[in-house]
Amino acid sequence: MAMKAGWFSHLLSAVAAVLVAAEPAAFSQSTATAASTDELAQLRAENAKLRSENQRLRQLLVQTASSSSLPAPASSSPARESAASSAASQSSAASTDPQALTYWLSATSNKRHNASCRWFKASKGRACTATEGTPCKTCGG
Amino acid sequence: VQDVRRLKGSIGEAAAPRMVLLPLLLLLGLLFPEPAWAETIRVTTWNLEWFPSGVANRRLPKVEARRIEEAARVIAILNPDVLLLQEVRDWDACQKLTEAIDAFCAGAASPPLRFEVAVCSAFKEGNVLGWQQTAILSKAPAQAAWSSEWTTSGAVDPPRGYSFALLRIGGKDLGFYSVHLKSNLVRGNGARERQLNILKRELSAEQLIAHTDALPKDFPDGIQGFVIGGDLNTNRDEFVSERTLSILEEAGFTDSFAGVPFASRITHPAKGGYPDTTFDYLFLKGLRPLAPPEILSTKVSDHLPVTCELALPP
Repeated sequence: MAMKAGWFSHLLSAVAAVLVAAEPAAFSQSTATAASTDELAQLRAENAKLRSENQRLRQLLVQTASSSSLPAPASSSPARESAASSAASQSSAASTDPQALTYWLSATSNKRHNASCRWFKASKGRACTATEGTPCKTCGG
Repeated sequence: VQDVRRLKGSIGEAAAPRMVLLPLLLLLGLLFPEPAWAETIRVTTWNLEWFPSGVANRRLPKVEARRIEEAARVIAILNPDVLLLQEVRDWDACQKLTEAIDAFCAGAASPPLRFEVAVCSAFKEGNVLGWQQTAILSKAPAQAAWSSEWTTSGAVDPPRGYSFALLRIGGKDLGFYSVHLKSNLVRGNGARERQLNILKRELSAEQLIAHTDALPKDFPDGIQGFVIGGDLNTNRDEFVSERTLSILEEAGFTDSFAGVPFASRITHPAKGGYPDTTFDYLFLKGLRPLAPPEILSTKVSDHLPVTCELALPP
């Protein structure tokens, strides 16, 4: 048994020696793999750096754009709700911005209706400002 | 990465000619498979705050046009492939936004960014069309797109619904949702209202998951990935007991903000008594974020756009 095991291990050693002699590069694969892992880690780090630089540039672009030519956007109430589109918020906006199109101008009668009127957006017409048309006698326009 | 592939190729070339080593290398390849090379896409979610007027009323066309230009400029800088929008008034507003993006690029002599409006919802508030719709804009044409309102369950009546688009990107069919869940507005009985708001969000999340589960029946070729993006109006910092985010995670979605510290995920900066908070999310299934989401600071809306670069599934 010991003889057999010895013979087998000799054979294995011989095969290994032949293979190493034939292609030493193949057995340096572990070193190469380690190098590639290092390379990959390096590329990932560079990628992350580029990505963060990209983000900073985008931020800079937006800031430059907003500070150079564009006015600050209109602010709204802090309420974060769709249902907040109530008559109350409409009238408050109307009072602060006379140019806001918060009224409804009936096309046929040229009457102006406010948000509380039954004819508001219920007749053929368009949105209008507080000074257009003639005020509705029911709602006051 | 191409360099790495080339490097790996050279390793393979050195070892390959030897017939004896080839099976060994194949075995190694099977044991330690390389990650498949995948395309990437950029997805942005943005609540545009009563777009385009900025308030709950219509404003003069020139005022609205200026705000459309402001939003278009930010979007062109962000350059996403898919844009998930909330609080947009209607299809027309979305269409004008795409045109403004195109015009901005032309003016800046940069390559055109041509978006198509895949879907814009038409949710009703009572009997009238709401002005806080959800929409999906994409550079790739939609294979399918629609929107649907949430269904009521007993006394719990969640507002709005979802917009959905199926897009083929990089040879993959991907499903995108844009959602805007119930806000935290409270009137009258505060405690009860707060609880009801949470319930509405949870119910919406459950319906959303049910939809993602049911979709494969309509698309036998399968959907390789999902993105749920939008203003979820919740977070784990303030709403500890709420299950909305957990419902999505339990269904296999991952939060792209997972592991990101609070200071780096403020999507709704403090305003009018409300603190800094995270309300806007991108939840992913089958897609992998290449980096934590980027949040661009801008005054166009009270919410900030959240953008994430994603690796497509192999």
